[in-house]
Amino acid sequence: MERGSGLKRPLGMDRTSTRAGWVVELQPQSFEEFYRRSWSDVYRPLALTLRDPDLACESTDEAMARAFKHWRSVRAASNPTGWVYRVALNWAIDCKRKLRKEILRTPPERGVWMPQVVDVDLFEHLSSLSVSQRAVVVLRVLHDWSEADTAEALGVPVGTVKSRLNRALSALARRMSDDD
Amino acid sequence: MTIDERLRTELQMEDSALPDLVGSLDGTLRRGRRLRRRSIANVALGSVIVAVAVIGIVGYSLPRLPDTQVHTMAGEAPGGNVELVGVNFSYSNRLHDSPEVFAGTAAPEPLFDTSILGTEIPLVEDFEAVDLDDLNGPTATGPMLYGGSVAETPVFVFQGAMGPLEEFLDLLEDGHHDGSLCFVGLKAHCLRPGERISIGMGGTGGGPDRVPREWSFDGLVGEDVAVVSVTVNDVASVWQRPVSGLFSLPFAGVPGDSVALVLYTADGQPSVGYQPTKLPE
Repeated sequence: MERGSGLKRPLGMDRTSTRAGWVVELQPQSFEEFYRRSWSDVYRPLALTLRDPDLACESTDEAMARAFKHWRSVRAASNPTGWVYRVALNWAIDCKRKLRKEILRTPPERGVWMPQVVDVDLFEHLSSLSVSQRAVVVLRVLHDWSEADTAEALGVPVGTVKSRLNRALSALARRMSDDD
Repeated sequence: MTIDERLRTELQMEDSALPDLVGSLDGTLRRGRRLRRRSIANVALGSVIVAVAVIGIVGYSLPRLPDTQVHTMAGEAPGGNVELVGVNFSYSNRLHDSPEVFAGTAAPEPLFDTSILGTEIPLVEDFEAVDLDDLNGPTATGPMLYGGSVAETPVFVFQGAMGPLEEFLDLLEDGHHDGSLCFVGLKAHCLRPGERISIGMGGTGGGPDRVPREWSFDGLVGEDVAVVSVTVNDVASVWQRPVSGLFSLPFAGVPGDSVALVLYTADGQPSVGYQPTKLPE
């Protein structure tokens, strides 16, 4: 699977030109082509957001199946990858919610993903953020999505993206200063 | 190194450490085809169930919407009203014909600084992420007033079967027909004429260890209300913009906490509040 295939965009790019770019870049000819090109672009930010690569993989495939089901309308959407990302994130959150209920009865068998990180404290601080805050941090800081595209992918207003990012960065800064 | 740079470096390292999992195109196509087949089968089965149920309950007198709505096709004449559980709700658009789904009207945009109110829990319109074709089960025969998402789960607000019909609207989780996620109680407390607020408890925890439980304020407020917010022990906790006056605002608290619900108009004037004594044990 090709990594990072053409979805990274500079911050602050003009919204109109960005949208035009999406249409030109992402209007796929077939679902199979879209799947091969976009799967990793959904899976990777989702895995970092969820802190669970297996669940991210599963939910990306589930969202892709729904995209296939609605392919005619998804293909015509301005941001098909954002659509799949949002469906996958919602599906994964739903799974996690159900899993929490299961955990009350049965301890989970699956371990927590813990990569080799440069800063263990920062990894833990990032893990302590809510999923919605981490989604914004991953899309904005790592993948350089614009506020408008992040808002579209998460299905929230631009103001919510700003406030979530501000709160997340403030919380991280506060915890990091406590560490120091 | 700034926090942004540290964060970016950290996330890049995490990204490079991700396992190189790959999806299964064949499996996805099989699953997608099953979804398509299920959708067609559900439409047929749902229609039969609805017909049998409606005829069985009300004879041959089929319920009908006012003429203005009957003649409104999806995307053509946006805006209108729909009656659910005896309440007249405004909607901004008609999204789907069978089952009937309407996009609720967003509350007025708040013109004041909402950051002082804590964390926003959106009840936003998120229609693109919702799979309408999954809403064909017998509990989802609507009409429905689309609510958006509650705690990031896509839901529909519809006339449900929990308790007396005049008291409850259910929130139906997208794609699940096996029971409602939660409900909006509409009779518990009245702030102003036509407004109904209830408080409910969900989740687990509590007890002697004082683990926060999940609670929620649900209800219906006037469409002039831009923001509903919750304080726990006088500290701002969460807030939300209603849709068609409906809101469902989850928050964390332990029994004994003092909680309050404050409603704000668009210009930031607190209109009225609801102050239960304490969260119950």
